[in-house]
Amino acid sequence: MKSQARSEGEFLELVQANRQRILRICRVYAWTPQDQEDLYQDVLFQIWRALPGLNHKVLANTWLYRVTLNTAMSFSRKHARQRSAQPVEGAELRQMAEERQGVAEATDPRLEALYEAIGLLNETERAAITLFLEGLSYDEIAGVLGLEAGHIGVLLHRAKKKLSQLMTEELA
Amino acid sequence: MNEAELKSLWQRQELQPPVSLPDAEIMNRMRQKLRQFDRNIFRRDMREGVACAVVVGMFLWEFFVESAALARTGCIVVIAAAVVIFGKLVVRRHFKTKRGEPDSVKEFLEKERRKMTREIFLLRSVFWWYILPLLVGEELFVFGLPRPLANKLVATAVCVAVSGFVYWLNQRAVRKYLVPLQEEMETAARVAEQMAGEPGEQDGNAKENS
Repeated sequence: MKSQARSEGEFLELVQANRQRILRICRVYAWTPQDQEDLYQDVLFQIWRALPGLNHKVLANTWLYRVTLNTAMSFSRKHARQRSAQPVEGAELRQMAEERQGVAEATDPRLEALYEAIGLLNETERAAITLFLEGLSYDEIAGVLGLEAGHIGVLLHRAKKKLSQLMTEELA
Repeated sequence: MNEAELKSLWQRQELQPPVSLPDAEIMNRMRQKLRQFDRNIFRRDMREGVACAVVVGMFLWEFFVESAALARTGCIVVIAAAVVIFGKLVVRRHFKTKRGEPDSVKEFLEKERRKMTREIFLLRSVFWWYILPLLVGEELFVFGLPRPLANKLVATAVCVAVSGFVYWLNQRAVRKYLVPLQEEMETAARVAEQMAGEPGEQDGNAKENS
């Protein structure tokens, strides 16, 4: 009972401290506010489930990004699959676009262009650039992605180049 | 915009949680979700277990009631097939579950890809491990029974039609959902491998940043 209370406290503390990070990643991988909400709930649930595996010798940062990114990728793939299985009707498509538009109006257009551009990168680049923007070092990005630190430079170099092109087009 | 501006723009965002809940409510939802998750797994296993138990029970009873050797052989084949199918679906799933440190993105993608390949293999070969053993057992049983040939043919036609439908459903799932998903995963893994395999053109900021 005591240990359950401790892990609940630890979970709430972790979520509280990293809420903005989780929300930013949810926005990268989920398109509409409804999807973002579902993904946010999924991420919290996966963090809660994976918490017993949190090794305190490992940086909580890396651990959290692994859980969040893995959940977000799974979510995004599952949703893409559902959407391709059930073609979206005209009205629904309009509603999604309006919801997206509502979000866009409320945020900085450069930020919106950044999200749009990140959404057009491939899966690995998207994850790497998100972690880069989060301020992780190359070693930490390598730890989260499971790649060698020496390769992160190449990956980010390409991703940044693409991102810059895409953002220029988005903002034009 | 330079990189520093981009990072600052990104990190300065103040996003609102979709639903703002007090801590007690968040924990309550987590516990509910965990209970629901465990309940769903239990129900799925129970459904498959009950289906297996019903088939085993029915054919075990027939085994003791029927005296024809062919019909009794059919019963044994069906029972064995049901147990193997149950084992393949349920036991395998439980042995694979483990909790520990979460995977890196690369490991996660690799595991997902392997899981998908196994699932596709399982569904593509459904005829051999699911349909055929049950169908052979049922047919031995039907033809072993002391009934008119017309009845046996009708029972055979029903069994073949049901088996055909099950086969069609499985192959449709492979074609429509799993293969496109597998291709998508393979592309992602290939891109990751290609990127990991070309360290020659690292950008100049690599050391500075790490």
